[in-house]
Amino acid sequence: MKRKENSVAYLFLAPWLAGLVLLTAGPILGSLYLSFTDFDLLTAPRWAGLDNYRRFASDPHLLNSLRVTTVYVLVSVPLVIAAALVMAALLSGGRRGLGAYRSAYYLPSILGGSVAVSIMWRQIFGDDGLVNWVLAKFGIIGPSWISTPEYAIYTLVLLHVWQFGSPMLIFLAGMKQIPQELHEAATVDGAGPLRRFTKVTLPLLTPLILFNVVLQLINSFKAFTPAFIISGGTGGPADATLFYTLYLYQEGFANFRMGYASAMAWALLIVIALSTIGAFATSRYWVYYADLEGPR
Amino acid sequence: MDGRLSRRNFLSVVALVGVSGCDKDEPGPAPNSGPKTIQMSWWGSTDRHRRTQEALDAFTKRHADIKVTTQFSGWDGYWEKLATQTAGGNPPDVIQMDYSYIGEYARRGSLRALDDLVPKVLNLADFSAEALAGGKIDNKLYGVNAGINSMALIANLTLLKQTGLELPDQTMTWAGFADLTKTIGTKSSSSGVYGCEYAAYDGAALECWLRQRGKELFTLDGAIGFTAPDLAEWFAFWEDLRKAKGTVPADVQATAVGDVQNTMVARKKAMFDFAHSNQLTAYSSIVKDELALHMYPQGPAGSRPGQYLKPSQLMSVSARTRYPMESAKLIGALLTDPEIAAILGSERGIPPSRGVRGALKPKANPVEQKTYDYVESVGDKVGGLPPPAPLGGGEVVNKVLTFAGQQVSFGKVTIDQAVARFFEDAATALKK
Amino acid sequence: MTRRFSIHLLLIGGVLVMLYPLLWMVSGSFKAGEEIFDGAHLWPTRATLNNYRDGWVALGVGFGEFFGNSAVIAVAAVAGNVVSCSMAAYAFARLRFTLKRLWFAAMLASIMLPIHVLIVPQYTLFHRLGWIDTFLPLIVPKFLAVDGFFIFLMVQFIRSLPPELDDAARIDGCGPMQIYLRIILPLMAPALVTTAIFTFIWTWDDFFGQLIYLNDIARYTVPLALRAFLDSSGESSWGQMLAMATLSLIPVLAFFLVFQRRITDGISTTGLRG
Repeated sequence: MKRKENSVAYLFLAPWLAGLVLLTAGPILGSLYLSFTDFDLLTAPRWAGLDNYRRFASDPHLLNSLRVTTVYVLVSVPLVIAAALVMAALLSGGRRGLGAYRSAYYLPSILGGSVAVSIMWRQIFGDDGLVNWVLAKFGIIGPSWISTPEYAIYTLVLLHVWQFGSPMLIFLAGMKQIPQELHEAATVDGAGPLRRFTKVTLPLLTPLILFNVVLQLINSFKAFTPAFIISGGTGGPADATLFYTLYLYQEGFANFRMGYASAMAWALLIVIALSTIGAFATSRYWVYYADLEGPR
Repeated sequence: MDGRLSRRNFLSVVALVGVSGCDKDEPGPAPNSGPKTIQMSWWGSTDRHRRTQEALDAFTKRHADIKVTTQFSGWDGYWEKLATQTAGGNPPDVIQMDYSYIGEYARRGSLRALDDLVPKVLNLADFSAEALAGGKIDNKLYGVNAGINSMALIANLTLLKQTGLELPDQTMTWAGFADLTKTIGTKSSSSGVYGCEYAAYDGAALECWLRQRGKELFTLDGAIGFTAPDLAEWFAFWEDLRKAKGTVPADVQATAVGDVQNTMVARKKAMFDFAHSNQLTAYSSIVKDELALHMYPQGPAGSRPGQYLKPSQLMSVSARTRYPMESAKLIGALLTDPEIAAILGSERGIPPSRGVRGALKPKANPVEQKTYDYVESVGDKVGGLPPPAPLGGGEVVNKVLTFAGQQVSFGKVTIDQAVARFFEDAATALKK
Repeated sequence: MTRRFSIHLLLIGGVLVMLYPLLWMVSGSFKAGEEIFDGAHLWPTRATLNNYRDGWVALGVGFGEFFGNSAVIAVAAVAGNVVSCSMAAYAFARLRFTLKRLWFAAMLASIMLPIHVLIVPQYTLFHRLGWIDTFLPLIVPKFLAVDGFFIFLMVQFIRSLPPELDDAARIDGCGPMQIYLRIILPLMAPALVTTAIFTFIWTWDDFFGQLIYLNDIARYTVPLALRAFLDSSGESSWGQMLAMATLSLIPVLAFFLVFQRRITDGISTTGLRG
């Protein structure tokens, strides 16, 4: 029966709709309005029309930050998803001791953007760091990876990949939902662990793979904290770690140009929305939902 | 139903944004009875938090009609929060201010001028004119000097001695400094220790050097106070020094962001850092070697002094406060009352009040004593305050200069290209 | 046998790489001030408990207060998210209603804007409500499903559950509410647990939002208290900060350890296919 269940549905949606109307929509529309103004935070916003948006093309730092962020997204998202998937496959199941491993691999995500992480990253990738110490054994004198324009972004990619615990957790949760009978049936049919993974687990995990891809895309485009703590908020050296949101933050708070920052945020939203639509569009070919016949 | 929702949204948005723009309203009349509650904000570390809270307790004990609520944090996030609160119409009454931000806040009308409260409510009689001038924008007093400091090289005496060198006296010129650092580089760069940090994009160092040539960072009417050839000569000096191993390499210098522990002297990569006198305490807590304060290199004989006595921090009053008198009383107590100022100690800088200074100096710890001595000794060797930075000046001195300097030091562009780019970017930043 | 052993070896090696920063943090908490940045050697030359003792009271209020405040906010946020997001997710995943696509898009779009451009209008809103310097701006939104991330997560989970289960229940006379409570929620347990873990950790670690809305030290939370040890314009109390940061990992780790078992141990109970 395909009749619509409006009143029930809106009952379930009520908290979310209330939140949207009362708490979220106002600030969102407020920031849209601010994007068309000159707003230095301390005095009233002044209407400026499309000036902020027109500034994009002539702002070299903005273009730098787009480049840096795009590299970050394109390199780290696939690596994070792959790492999360592989480790989830290795660490799923109820065998004893796996809980300890899972916690250990999840710990970096708990540490998040703490100051300790930024110090350690410097101790590993800095001029005197662990990496250079190892390289010196082979007679190679490495630069300060974390503060050299060519390499700095990759230390941030590694920081992101190091924190694969969150998507891994989601995959683990998804794997738990897969009925044991399917695994057993496959085993009876003679499938080894790898076969079982690719033929049973992976297809049923596709909705969550899509989830992780979309969320990693959104979060990587919006990434802020890693660049902030590693570069001390500067995005340096010479814009090498200037994530888009970091530049937006500098413009909004340090340079008193919140109107321009708001315009930047909305431009980012469009980029993220397009990427998300792209991901959803491809999903019809590879995502398997139980509530549809085959991949949507 | 949906149409109605979205119209309600729109109205609430307009109302919200309208409110956030209402800075021009006068603060409402204050209620007449009951304790007056003022809020004070400051940044610092645990020592300052403890002392300030104690000082506030002492203050409220004396004034039964005033209550003080607090908002304190580390440096991270302080300015974002203050800006958000101001935009949202809810700033604190008494605000700990920084010299690099006071121009921006004062000129945008967020701070209350205090001239009408001096000297009846706020007695600053034993502040020198210089000390007061640090808090004046367009000749009105927007912040009371809470600690005096001046530019200072942090020198690692232990390492110098180990290299067989002596700390030069205060007549050391830039040329002499260059020779000294090159010598250090020749002797010890193989073990990773260089003469000094790469200071081409250090705004204070540049400012000092410019003043010695009779120029300033900014002119009185808010334009850049120096020329392309000036900046090119400055960059060339540092490139020459870097290539001769007098300074640390470019990538090592680029790690010196954020806290003091990342600086070159703190990491023992260099023997000289361009800093300010009130940072000696922070350096000393990280480096156990013997450290000394030294003036920045001097210009050629007969040149103007490059340094000046700067307020490290200031205390300001919000333009939206409902209790300006009480706020001013609090500031006065913190900075001029002997008992309360003694609780605060010298950790915000050298107290500008002569009376307080005299009382606190004997009680200061050895590191603070060095700072007192230094500031006293440079008193007659400094020049007057520079003109206050224009709106956007902070961005020029930090972001624009750093970008240009890093491009040069990593060899991404030529000096002339970097200088041209600097002036373009600075023009954009100042155009507010 | 050897294959299992070498896998274990690799896993342990990986663990050390993962945990190195944590080890540094813990070891630093036992070191005296000037030793902390003295090279990367982990073992303190003179271990001391001073950082723990001094750090606990360094901000005037016992650090336990901050743990308590953080716990209150985190637990409330978990409750809010689990309830409100699962309700919204059920509607999106299982019910048909007008404008479903539009609302779903709006839900996703709401998480695409960075907080920095929303904070000023949000602050103004909460100021007008009189909620500044209370926990309300940090808790109430969670009960109104503001975290679209979790709605999306739960939608994906629910869509993996065969709709035949719903149909069977409907035939038995269950209405949507009953299906939600008796069929969907129990089967979504892994998603709910994941939501709980993420919400707890992210709330426990949230610096910016808590900084903006909380003023008085009595209401401070762990991230605010930790950053109050660090003044990059002056002297910082590193040892004490590391000590308190190490302590503050314990509740988070405990929460995770307890709950993660519910995600992975045991056998899944779905599978009613004949």
